[in-house]
Amino acid sequence: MSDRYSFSLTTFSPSGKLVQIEYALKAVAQGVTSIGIKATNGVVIATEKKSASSLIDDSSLEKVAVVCPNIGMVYSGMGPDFRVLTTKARKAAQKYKRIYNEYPPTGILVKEVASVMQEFTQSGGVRPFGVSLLICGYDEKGPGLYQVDPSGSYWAWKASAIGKNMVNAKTFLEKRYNDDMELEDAVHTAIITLKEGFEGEMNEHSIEIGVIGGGNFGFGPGKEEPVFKKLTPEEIKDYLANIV
Amino acid sequence: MSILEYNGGVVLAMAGKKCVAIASDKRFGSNYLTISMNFPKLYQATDKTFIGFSGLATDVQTLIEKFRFHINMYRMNEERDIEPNTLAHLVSSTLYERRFAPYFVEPIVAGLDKNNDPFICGMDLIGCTTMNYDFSATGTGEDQLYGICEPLWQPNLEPEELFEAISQAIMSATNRDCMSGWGAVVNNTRESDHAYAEDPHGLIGLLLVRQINAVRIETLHLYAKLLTDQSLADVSIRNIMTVAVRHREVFYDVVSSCGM
Repeated sequence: MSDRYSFSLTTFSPSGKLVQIEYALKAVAQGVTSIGIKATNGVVIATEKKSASSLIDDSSLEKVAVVCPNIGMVYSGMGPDFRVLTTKARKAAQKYKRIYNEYPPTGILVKEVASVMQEFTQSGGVRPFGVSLLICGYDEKGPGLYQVDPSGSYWAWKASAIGKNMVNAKTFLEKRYNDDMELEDAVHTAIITLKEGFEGEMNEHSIEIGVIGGGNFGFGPGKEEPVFKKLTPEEIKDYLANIV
Repeated sequence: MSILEYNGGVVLAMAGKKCVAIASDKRFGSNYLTISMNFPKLYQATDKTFIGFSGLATDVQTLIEKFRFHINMYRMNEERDIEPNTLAHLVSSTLYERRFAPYFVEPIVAGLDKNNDPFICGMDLIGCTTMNYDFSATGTGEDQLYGICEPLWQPNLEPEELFEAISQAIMSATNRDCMSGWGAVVNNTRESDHAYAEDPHGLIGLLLVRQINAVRIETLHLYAKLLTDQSLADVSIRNIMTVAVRHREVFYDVVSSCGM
């Protein structure tokens, strides 16, 4: 029955679903796992960097992307769709800056990206994006982690996983997560969560990690404004060495 | 005469210690003809920020409405009030959008930031911002305002002293400018109260009284004495002004009893 309604995105099925979005979520579930964890003083996002062949030069592959100095994002699903969304998110952030001379707070940028993704579920001749995003940022309200789905809905999370291994990873995180976690612990937890479903050898070149916050970053006197950065392979190696 | 001078008017802003004040005159004219003597040019954007617009009156009115729209949308989207420096950039970008067919206004943004430190920013009609630490003036009586502000302003003025300084400055300057005057509106905000204290008639009444008739000053002195319970010699103009601000209702009585 739903086959009749599955070809046209902009038609509801009798059961009240937009079947194309369901299929888009299936595409996401086939992508490699990504993790996001919010700590008291920062946020970490991480993903596997699985190359189809050892001949691929994976230093050129960027899965964790900087959107603006206070916001970064990672995905699960189709890489090319992610590239398009990264460009749109970066442009939205710069457009905001041109008007207000400051970068957008995380929630505002997430709304922008989500409304772009929603547009592609209500227009003619387009298909939804085949990615779920984990967007992390640190603004005056504090650290924030958001997930955005192909439908355009978004939620804030304390810790989340998307992609192939998301069910097991979320169960794992539910046990491991506590509200008092600091950024260092969060990075550690993110790595071991990734390791749970990892196929093959996990080393500093096969995972990508991005962090914002930690240490003396924050808002207020005597603190530096937090900046999103990707961990270098050397830094990842240090973290991996601490894991048995 | 340039189109910026057609309707006349001035706006002045001054920074003090954890407080800021912005003032405008109340004249609205059509060249030499005065049409209204109650056209203040200030807009309260948030609890702690103000924008004042001098220049063509239709653009003043339109931009007040335009910025009300932007500020309300900002408040609903971001779930917080806009900061004064952010507002200043918003005003600047809005003006620059019309770079080749500009709004004929020269605004001043004044407010307290999240640490309650004063922020002042003057702009030209296409959005060039100048963030002064002391005072900022725009309008037909700009030169006169800068002239009187320079000696009157000092760093770290308390709210009452700031109020007096800005009031004296705007009244003296508008007296020397034919295109502005007919009283002033002073909005000031300080750390302790995030609501502004508007004193349109108290100030104008007091200063007009000073100019018109010395006798009426005596009446005010007596009144002030009664209210503050000080000996007559101690009562200075500054005390009277402070008293007049705090007891506007009483002051109206005095003014009406003086037959103004």
